[in-house]
Amino acid sequence: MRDEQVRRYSRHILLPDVGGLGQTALLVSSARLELRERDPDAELIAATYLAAGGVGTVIVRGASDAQVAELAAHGPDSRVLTEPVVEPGSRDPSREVALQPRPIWWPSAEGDATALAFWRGGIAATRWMAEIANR
Amino acid sequence: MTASPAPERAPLRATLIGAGGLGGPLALSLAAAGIELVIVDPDVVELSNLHRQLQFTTQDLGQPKATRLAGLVVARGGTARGVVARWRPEDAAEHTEDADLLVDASDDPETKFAAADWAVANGRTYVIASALRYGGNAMAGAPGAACYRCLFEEPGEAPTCADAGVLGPVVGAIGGLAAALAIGLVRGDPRHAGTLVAIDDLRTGAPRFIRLSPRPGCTACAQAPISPFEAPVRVADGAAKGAAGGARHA
Repeated sequence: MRDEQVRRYSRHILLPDVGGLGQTALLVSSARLELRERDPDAELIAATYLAAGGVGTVIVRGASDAQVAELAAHGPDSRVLTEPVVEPGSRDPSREVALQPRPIWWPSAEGDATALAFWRGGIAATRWMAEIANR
Repeated sequence: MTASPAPERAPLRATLIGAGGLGGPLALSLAAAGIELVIVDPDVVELSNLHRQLQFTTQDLGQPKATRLAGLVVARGGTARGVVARWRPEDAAEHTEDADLLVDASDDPETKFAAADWAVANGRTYVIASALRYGGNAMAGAPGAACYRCLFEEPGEAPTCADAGVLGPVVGAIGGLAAALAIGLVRGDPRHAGTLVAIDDLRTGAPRFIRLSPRPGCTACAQAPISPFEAPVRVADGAAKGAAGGARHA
């Protein structure tokens, strides 16, 4: 890693079960997810955390050019793509970022859609990144 | 003769302390719920923030977080004002006096206690949020309920993200959950008043909702306009009818 990368990802590197090796694994990793047409916020938030966290390739199916540019601005070490780079038959399911539905215990409130998107996107990105970085 | 328009509900107002990893998701979520914001933070954007503070990019390096985040909220159609300062209760007239809700998303234990104490003494709803490594917590408070100081008593030595690290998206999840608690509270839903929501490890676990009891001798509750020992507990679900019962786990 370059000095600038060490500073940018220092809060990851400080985690004992990530360290420099875990961050390096993220920098060469590849994630893919799909924006749902009607409600893309949680997926976009997850993708943005992945790009900002140094995931080397983030493939977002269904993203617009503006969304790709926004993601790229958050992830100088990420290649952000819109097209799948592997055939469906040879996809590695572990690369797919899985988003869960709203949990049953969620403290629902009027106007909480963005809050819920941060929860769902944050959890999905946390679990995906930990799976790579904690190895 | 013209029909008079229906009276509009005045917008709810919140003061958000901290414009960092938790503050970003909180600001965007509260604003999306129609809540007007004052965002208070003394810091400028640093490179080590950018892996988790999605409200900023390298273009914001060196700029004050409070005003940059407020600008983003406004650009997304919300209402927000940034105050570049550390939040202190003696400055409340400048940024917090008319807030319906006070949310702490700072990384400073002293500030968290000061914010909670101010909210309790002034009868406001509040949420105090923290995140570290792979987990975090959010305490939801309202008049008549057990408070932050009932639980934690005094500021202690707590590690920060700068000491112990944090996985970037953890702050998004905790910030979103804290925002949902705050939006419910300030809209008058008392279900989670006096509740600590704790998530030890987001990789594997689900939140625990821990209903708190007021602590006899709590110096913050002694200043409260509605004492949790005298007022009926504002719990809608009937789980706690008396104020002085034991801790309840939901």
